[in-house]
Amino acid sequence: MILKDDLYREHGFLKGLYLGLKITMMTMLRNLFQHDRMTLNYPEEKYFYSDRFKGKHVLTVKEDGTLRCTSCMLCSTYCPAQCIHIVAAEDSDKEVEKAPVSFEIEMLRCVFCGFCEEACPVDAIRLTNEYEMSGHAEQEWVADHYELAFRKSLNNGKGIVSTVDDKDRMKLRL
Amino acid sequence: MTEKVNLKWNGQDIQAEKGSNLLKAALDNGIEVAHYCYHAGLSIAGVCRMCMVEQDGVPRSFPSCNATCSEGMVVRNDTPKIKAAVESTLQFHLLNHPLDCPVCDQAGECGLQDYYMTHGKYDSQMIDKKVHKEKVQDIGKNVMLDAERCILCSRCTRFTEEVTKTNELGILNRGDHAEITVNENLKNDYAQNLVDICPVGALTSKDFRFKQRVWFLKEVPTTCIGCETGCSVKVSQNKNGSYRVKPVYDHDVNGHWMCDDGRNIYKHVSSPTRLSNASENINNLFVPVDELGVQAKVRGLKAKYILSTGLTVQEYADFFSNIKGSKAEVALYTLPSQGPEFDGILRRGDKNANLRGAKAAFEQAGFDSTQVGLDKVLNSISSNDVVYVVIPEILYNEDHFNTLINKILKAAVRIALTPGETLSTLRAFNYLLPVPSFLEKNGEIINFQGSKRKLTAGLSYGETSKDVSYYGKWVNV
Repeated sequence: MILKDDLYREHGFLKGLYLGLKITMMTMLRNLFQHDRMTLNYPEEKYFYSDRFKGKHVLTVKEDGTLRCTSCMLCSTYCPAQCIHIVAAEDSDKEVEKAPVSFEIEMLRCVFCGFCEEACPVDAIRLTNEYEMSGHAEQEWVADHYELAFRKSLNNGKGIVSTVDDKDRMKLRL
Repeated sequence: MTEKVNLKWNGQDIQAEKGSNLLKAALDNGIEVAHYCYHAGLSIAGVCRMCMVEQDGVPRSFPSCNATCSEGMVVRNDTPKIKAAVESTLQFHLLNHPLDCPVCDQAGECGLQDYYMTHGKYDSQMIDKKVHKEKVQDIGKNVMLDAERCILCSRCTRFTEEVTKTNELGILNRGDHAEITVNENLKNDYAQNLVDICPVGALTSKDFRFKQRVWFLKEVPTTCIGCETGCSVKVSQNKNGSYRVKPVYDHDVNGHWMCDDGRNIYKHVSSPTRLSNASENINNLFVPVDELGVQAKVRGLKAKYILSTGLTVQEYADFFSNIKGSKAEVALYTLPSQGPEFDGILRRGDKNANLRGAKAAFEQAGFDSTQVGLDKVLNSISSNDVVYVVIPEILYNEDHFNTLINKILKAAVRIALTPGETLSTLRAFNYLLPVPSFLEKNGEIINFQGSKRKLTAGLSYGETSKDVSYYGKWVNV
């Protein structure tokens, strides 16, 4: 409700004060006894965002449980905050050839734009609807690939399997 | 003298030597023409069919790399007919391409990626299965072969046939089963040029493998300090370090190539064991120390300098202008010869990059640059001397250098000025001081022909100054 006129000027001081407080008290009483209010009793109550929410990153895994990432560095190239650090190395599997030995995201730098997700050619990185992140020291904010792929909240520590697995990729290679 | 002829390429007037290569004439004049198999340093193969052109008065289109320039030629490669031809050709090149750009080191500087943006068909018409060939083959000499990515331009086979004359590579089988085959593992000393000339990711370097993506790197044009040839090279580096050395075309010195030894010259520059600040030797452990403290220690002692042949002309000049009037003695440590004097292509046995510059500077200042002069200085070392030794940037023969170190042990203070790694040999010194490496200084060196070769400063990785006065400032402390 937006009041267009100045209550004091129209109704005088006492009536204007009464009218103004009436709006305040009504709103307070409504919020006290009605339950359709917007605020939540966080952290007891939690809000669940849709899957399209851009929250904490997850690295997907293959069916055999290894990281899907091939460390092509496209995400770290496109990252506007330059917060993704990947160290690539040779993989013993000739079909895989290249895999990361270290994949780190500096969460404090990340702006959660989702460019990494879009740049990834193999569906290896996704942003989830996880928004609860806390920590004290700066070190706690550097998420390594164990945390990104195998944290407790992701399929009970087993990780999320990517939609395109290597086997499927080989099938796609007509 | 060769005769110049005028011709027209896409309506643009260009000049070229009569009888010279038509494609080269276009490329030299800054016209971009797609090509894979043509390389100015190799013979003409005409197998990739990407450089097709039409000529007025000639009914059929033809590859420009196999044509010669003549007066009044009118050539076009922007007609619809040629564009369609190049598009279809590229489609054929990509038919069996595995598309593993995410794991391929060539991505970012790949001929297929580049030309796909301009000549790509974008919609695949392939209905058959792709032909798969063997990936990840280590073919020796730091070269990795991926037969699947190859487009059979035959640059590599021509290189081993014509330049090194070792014939390790060949193309076997027919049709889409044709592939690069290794007769025996690479054995020539120029093998890593194969990585440079490969227009796709079929031949990649094992040394550079997965270290960095090429778009993160900046190239610094400089000169190789591996031997007295002084090839023009470029060093790829970023803030984390230097990653590879590639040759740059230089008509007078190295042409298109460089040797495999020269590919390793960058390694000490950003090495984790590189000396980055002044250090004192305490029980064979090097502990950082303030330079002013070192200067106080050497005050009043008689200075003796043993320079290396790796300094630039400017550094020698500055050093000798500082030394003028002081009683300091100066000698030159020359690296011993390695291998044959000249291997017939580029590499030379004399590993002193700037020996001629050093000799000229010594002569001008009136010091003896020969071994006799060095022995004289070494024999005169006594217990109230301070000896400064400039460590050669690349020590090919550490034993030879150790004989020199054994002779300076008598001196009161021994100081090493090192542009490279902290070697165990340096335990004989009391103090270590970092000096810029060849990648961190601007200057000139003089190669075997007596011509001046430029060094260009890239990024610095230690606390070294880019000021040439570094060596001279220790003269008058």
